[in-house]
Amino acid sequence: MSLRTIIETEPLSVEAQLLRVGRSMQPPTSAYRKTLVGLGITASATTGASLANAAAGTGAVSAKSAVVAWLGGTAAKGIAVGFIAGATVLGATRVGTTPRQATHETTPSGSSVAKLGLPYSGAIPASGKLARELGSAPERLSLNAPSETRAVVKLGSADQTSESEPSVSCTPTHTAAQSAAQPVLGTVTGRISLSGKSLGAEVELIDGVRDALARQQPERALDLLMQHKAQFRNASLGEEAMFLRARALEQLGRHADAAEALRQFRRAYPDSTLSEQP
Amino acid sequence: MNGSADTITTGALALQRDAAEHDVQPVNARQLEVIVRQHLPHVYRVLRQLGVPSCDADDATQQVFWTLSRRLADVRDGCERAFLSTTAVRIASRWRRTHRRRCEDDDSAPISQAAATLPSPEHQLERAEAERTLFRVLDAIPEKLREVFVLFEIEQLTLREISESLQLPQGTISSRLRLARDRFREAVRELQSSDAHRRER
Repeated sequence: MSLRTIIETEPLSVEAQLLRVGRSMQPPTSAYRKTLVGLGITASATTGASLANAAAGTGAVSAKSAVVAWLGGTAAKGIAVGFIAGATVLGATRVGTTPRQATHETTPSGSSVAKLGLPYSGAIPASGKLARELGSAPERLSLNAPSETRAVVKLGSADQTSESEPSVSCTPTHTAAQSAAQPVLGTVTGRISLSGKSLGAEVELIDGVRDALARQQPERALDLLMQHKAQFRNASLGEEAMFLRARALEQLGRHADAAEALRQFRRAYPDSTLSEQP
Repeated sequence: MNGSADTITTGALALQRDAAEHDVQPVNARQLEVIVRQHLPHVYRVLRQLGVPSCDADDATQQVFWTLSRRLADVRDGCERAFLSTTAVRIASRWRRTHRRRCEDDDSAPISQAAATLPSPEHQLERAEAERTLFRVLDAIPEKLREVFVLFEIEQLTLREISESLQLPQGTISSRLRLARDRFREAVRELQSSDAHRRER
């Protein structure tokens, strides 16, 4: 009997099951992003750091022991964004000494935030474990690191206990200039998505915006950007979204608005490579 | 992994140098993007099932599409999949020769995307185990037979497509496929047998 037909005729046979496993294998999101970046297609869709990391292979999620060093301050911005762009981060380890207790707070807007001090001992718990530790599931994870602290973020830790793929994304809350002005404390906030709003979903949405712009549909692009803003309050791809908004306004012929949007973008992300895109 | 990362970085830089030296003209980015989105799962599966470990699969995938991007003008419309299959087979073959045993601990690699989307950790573990079993079985098939087997039985290309991709006569493909199937079944039987032995103990 042909193995091709065995799946239909003998669905419970080991051969059939193995073939089915082979056929249903899916690449990680990082493979798409990395390939597109490598081809220069998503140059406008990533930051300089993520571009460099992805092209150099350091941002690959599938690299199970790939290690990204986070040095705080200026370096934190690039590297944090770099690994976000192509990776799901399931855990982190510290290089430090004293472990600090995780705390749980509720922001004025009602979202719950887990805060971990760095140096932090051991792996950053995946969402399920963190929820158990804190008694309820936080919506965001905030990491506070002294600028001298060196944290090593490991991609693809096996510490995965939630039902859906947990993702940690880090968005810098201050610019490099602010880092220089505040040498003592560098802060990076991150978000553990517990509601299925994963980085993958965000990437899809931003890719939709790019698609719309490529099809000369700026209204749709702006709609999608509104959705992005509403759905991802702590967006990993906020920089890209802001840049694409300027492009969408330009396509709409709203040149003054586009120029203003671009000015705001450059103020917010002075080191961004996106502004160099045509 | 450090060695691998260095190699990857070096590879990426080499690609950039290559682009600069050969003045690679930007191809139709939109067209390329569509091709990537359409065919990347196929390329990724072929690479993985031809022995490229998960820690290197992203880079190998990138190489395949990089190759396509440089040759896109020469590839007839509708023949992208065949071109990508050919390239993936070649890159996997080269990868196996030069990177063998680089990721010995691949069994502990993060679970695949397919596994990660499953509803519970138990399902994910089962899926990951099934993938590892598949790789073990495929490892038992000699390289040239495995290429035909993966392209036909898993990627479901036709004999003609495989014949064009591997630039071999269809008769050769058929006989290789027959042999590969035998080896596949044999490997599955051996696996079941050793599993039964283990349980008896």
